[in-house]
Amino acid sequence: MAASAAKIVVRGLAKEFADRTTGRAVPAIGGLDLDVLAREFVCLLGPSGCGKSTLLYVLGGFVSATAGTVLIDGKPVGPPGPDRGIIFQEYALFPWLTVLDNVMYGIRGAASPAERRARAEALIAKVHLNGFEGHYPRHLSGGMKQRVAIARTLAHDPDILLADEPFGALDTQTRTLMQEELLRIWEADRKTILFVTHSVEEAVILADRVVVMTARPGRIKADIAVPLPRPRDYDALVRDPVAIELRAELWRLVKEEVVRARGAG
Amino acid sequence: MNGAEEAAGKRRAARIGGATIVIAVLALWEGVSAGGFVDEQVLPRVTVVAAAWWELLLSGELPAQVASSLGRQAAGFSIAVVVGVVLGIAMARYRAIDDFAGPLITMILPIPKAALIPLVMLWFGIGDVAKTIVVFLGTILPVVVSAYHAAGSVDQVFLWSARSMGDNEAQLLRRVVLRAALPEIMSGIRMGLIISLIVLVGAEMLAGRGGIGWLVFYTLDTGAYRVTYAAMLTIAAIGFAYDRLFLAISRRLLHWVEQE
Amino acid sequence: MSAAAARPAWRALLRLRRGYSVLLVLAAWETASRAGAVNTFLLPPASEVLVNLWNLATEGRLLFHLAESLLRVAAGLGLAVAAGIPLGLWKARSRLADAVLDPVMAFWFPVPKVGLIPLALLFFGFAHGSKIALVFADALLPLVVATYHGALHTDRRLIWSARAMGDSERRILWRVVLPAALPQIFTGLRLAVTVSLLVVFLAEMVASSSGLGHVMIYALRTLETKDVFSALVTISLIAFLADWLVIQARRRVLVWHA
Ligand SMILES: Nc1ncnc2c1ncn2[C@@H]1O[C@H](COP(=O)(O)OP(=O)(O)OP(=O)(O)O)[C@@H](O)[C@H]1O
Ligand SMILES: [Mg+2]
Repeated sequence: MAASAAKIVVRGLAKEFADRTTGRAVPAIGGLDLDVLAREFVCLLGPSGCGKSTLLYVLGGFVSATAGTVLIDGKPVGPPGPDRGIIFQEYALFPWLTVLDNVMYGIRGAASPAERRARAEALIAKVHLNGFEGHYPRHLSGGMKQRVAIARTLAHDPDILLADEPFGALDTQTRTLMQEELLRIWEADRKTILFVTHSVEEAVILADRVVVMTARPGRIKADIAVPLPRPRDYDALVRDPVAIELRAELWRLVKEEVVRARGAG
Repeated sequence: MNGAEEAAGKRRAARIGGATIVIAVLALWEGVSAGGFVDEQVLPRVTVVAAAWWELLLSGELPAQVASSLGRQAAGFSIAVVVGVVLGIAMARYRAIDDFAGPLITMILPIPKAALIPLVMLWFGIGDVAKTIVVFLGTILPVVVSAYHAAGSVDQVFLWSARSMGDNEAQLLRRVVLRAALPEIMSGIRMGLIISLIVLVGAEMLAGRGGIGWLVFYTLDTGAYRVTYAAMLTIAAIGFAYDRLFLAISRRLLHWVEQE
Repeated sequence: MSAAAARPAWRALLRLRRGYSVLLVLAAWETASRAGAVNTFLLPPASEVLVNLWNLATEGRLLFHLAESLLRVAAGLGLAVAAGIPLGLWKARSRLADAVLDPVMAFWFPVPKVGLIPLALLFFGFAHGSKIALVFADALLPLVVATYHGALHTDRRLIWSARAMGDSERRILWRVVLPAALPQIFTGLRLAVTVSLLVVFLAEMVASSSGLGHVMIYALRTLETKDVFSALVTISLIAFLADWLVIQARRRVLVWHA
């Protein structure tokens, strides 16, 4: 692995939180190494509480690491900025703005208002929400909100996309549609994506590579390439023997950690 | 759509019910007074009070006193809202400001604001400045407290989203913190509005020289009860009108909030 | 780990950090007044105010006025609780009550009741009656509104299960709806206490010959500024204590509530 060429380089990352009641330090991440190449789609799997969100927040610049180095394009990670887009599980759309204004929020620079508007409208079309520009988030379904969130994140054209279980709250059908939509968008304009998920199926459908984390304090347990051709065909993958084998393998790895986490908890 | 229609229907019913009750109360008042159940000196008839009110209006006395009251109210209230919102948000966002102002506000907060009136009179006399300060003090605390609380509990994912879309601190405050905190700030402002009228009227009663509260008390002293009642009704009407105005503005500003 | 060991000292420092401004203001007040930087008539030193407060308290006069004020608040507030909670429950459970009370409350809520002091004086007299009436008028609505909202949002399943167990509607009201509404009622009570104190002192200033509000305004008129400050301190302590009492009562009554 040529570490210097990687888009994201994480070495020996550790993060401790202070327990709210006792004040004692609780390790959330304990010595994590990870490389993500440019334009790679990496899924992050792991038991609940193993530090997946925390890792994303460190990469996003929202939370600082206790120890270790995190490099992006060879430089230490800085404060939050438009080079890294983030999609949260709970959408995080601004309820006081319409769909259009939410998407326009992050578009800035020299562009005229008309240009910005045109750009936002194009993105809204890209996530199939034409006609909903004037709606407020409370009038949208979960899947629609998440599509607005994706459009909003793409609007400032980040280099890296950090997604924290973005489809976790959706029903299975909507989730499938959203996965297809995300793949379509990503295949057209390959960004570097680090995508946290709880779902083994989702990881296999989306990723170039799946990284499995250990129970808390999180480290990398396994790093498994997904040798499936793109564009991915959702229906074919259900019966694809390679995919079936992969899912079984990932499921076994995750389950070990879930059991370990329970024993420790 | 259905919910909106139902709400409109409910509002219409409330308006009709309200009108009915107001008329009933006025009729009862007239009956009690005209029937001699209460001394007509103490409770003049509605019609007499209405006539007095009309006279007061035409003579220019009532408009002058109302204008003088509302001028003080508007000045003190609007300064308090601006200062209160800024201070509350600043306290919620900056540790040093919170450490300084927080304990002081905690100490002043529970003081019944009426008790500050004599102090203000001692320091600033009984003129317009003193009354404006009284209104300011009555308004600002609920506003600061609501702004502080609301700005401190803005959902972190909103702040993080805005940051990752490139907001700097000033943009974050204006575009996210203020907007997210607005619903709670508005209820603090409503509380402040109500208290501001209470302490204004109280201060005017205590320290003469004009204003609607002064008119109420002055005429009570001179025994012109008809005018006292007319002035009291005017105070009630002002309170009611202010609240309606506030609710209309608030509904506009907060149209994105799920209304009850 | 080292942070954990250093904790107690840290805590103490933290507390000081939160309180320094109050100490600073008190110190500034004291020194400015003693050094003659401000007119001691307008701002007597804090220490002298405290001494004066002690003298007033031991002399007994202050306690008499304190008792007068508290009596008025207690009576008005007690009446408001006795009327407000049933009214709120009734409003939540009956369409008719809701229809009648809604417009009345929408009108009554924003009216600055102190404006009606003359009315209270004319009808309830210059002594206790007018103050009690005003406290009642101002404390009633927060209680009605809070009870109403608490009762309205009672979990339906609780009511249904009580009904399934054969409870009468009346029994349900007192045994299910009222307890479920208690957290909200306490919030309303807290507001009612705050408003009651505001109104009673104001009314005493405007028209009374007893009570702490009267003490304060009388001191102002006779230019006994130390008494003004002493009364202010007493009033603030009362308000602080009253709020604390409501919170304690709430904690006691609502042990089951988060
Ligand atoms: N602000 C915080 N303060 C204290 N502890 C925290 C904080 N944030 C996270 N933790 C703890 O750190 C650990 C990792 O949390 P994190 O949210 O990263 O887990 P996760 O892998 O995203 O879990 P999930 O799959 O449930 O989202 C957990 O044990 C959590 O309790
Ligand atoms: Mg998580």
